Amino acid sequence: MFFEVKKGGFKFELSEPIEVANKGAVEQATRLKLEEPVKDSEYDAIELAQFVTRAGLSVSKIFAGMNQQEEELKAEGEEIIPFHLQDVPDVEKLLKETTGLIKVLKAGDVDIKQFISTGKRLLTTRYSGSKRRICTIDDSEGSAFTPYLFDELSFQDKFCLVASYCVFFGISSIGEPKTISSKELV
Amino acid sequence: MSKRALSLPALIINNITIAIVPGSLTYKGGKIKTNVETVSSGGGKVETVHSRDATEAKSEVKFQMRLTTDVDGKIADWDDNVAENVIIFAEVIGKQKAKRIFEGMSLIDDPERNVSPDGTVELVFQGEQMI
Repeated sequence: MFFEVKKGGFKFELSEPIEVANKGAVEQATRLKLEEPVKDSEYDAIELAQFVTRAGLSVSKIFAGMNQQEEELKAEGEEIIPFHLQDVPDVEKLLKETTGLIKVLKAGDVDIKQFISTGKRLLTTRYSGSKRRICTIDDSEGSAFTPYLFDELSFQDKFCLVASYCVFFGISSIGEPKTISSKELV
Repeated sequence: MSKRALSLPALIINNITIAIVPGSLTYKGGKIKTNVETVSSGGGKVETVHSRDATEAKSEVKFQMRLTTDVDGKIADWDDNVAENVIIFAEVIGKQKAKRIFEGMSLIDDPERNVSPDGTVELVFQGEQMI
């Protein structure tokens, strides 16, 4: 699922290749490059955050566990740094959290189709005012990942792609005020 | 056994789905032409000589689009992309996906725009033989 994970973004390995038009020919692509949300994508990102939060609340037991962990860390004054801001993101933790989110979404009171559809919009829109796209084809020199190409993905790849994007870029915490750690208060 | 026709395909140019006027899409695969000539060997006897002619073995995709405000921008992009446009059209018929791929396509001619309430523009691409 995760091919290359580093500060600022990651590459997603597809389980099934897709056909991509590149410089007059059709090529097989297996890797997508994902970068952090841009200014104009915030409303789509917050919509995704709503899905994640709603799913978490409806699966209260699982969510309570996650919350507890977060609270414990906050109590110790340790700030939770989203994966894309970490110098060396922990891939195993990322994979674990993505799998956890997928389970929560499946068990929660959330329309998965709508969740994927919102993710599609976020990843394939060329937002006005933005010089770059959030998602590009890594195999073919960064050509655009369009809505047509998203539709060509298998269900598993669509679901995992959107979920992993949410986890890596901490989408669920978008719009929340930043935590002031106890260290800063001293 | 009954069969279903390709009638409402999605047209994709350079990975972007394009909305076209229904029923306006036509294509040629770029088949190598076979010429058949006759030779007379006398006494009313005639034979045929067959030859293959590749001079016109190029594919062609023709379709119409509605004259919306974004059309000129799209046409300019395709026109700049000489020999590098890729056209795919696909239609899911029942459980099967019918797909045609045209690589190395160029927009030929200067398309004529018809400015009217139901205005359309016809575009013709030519390039490599159909895959």
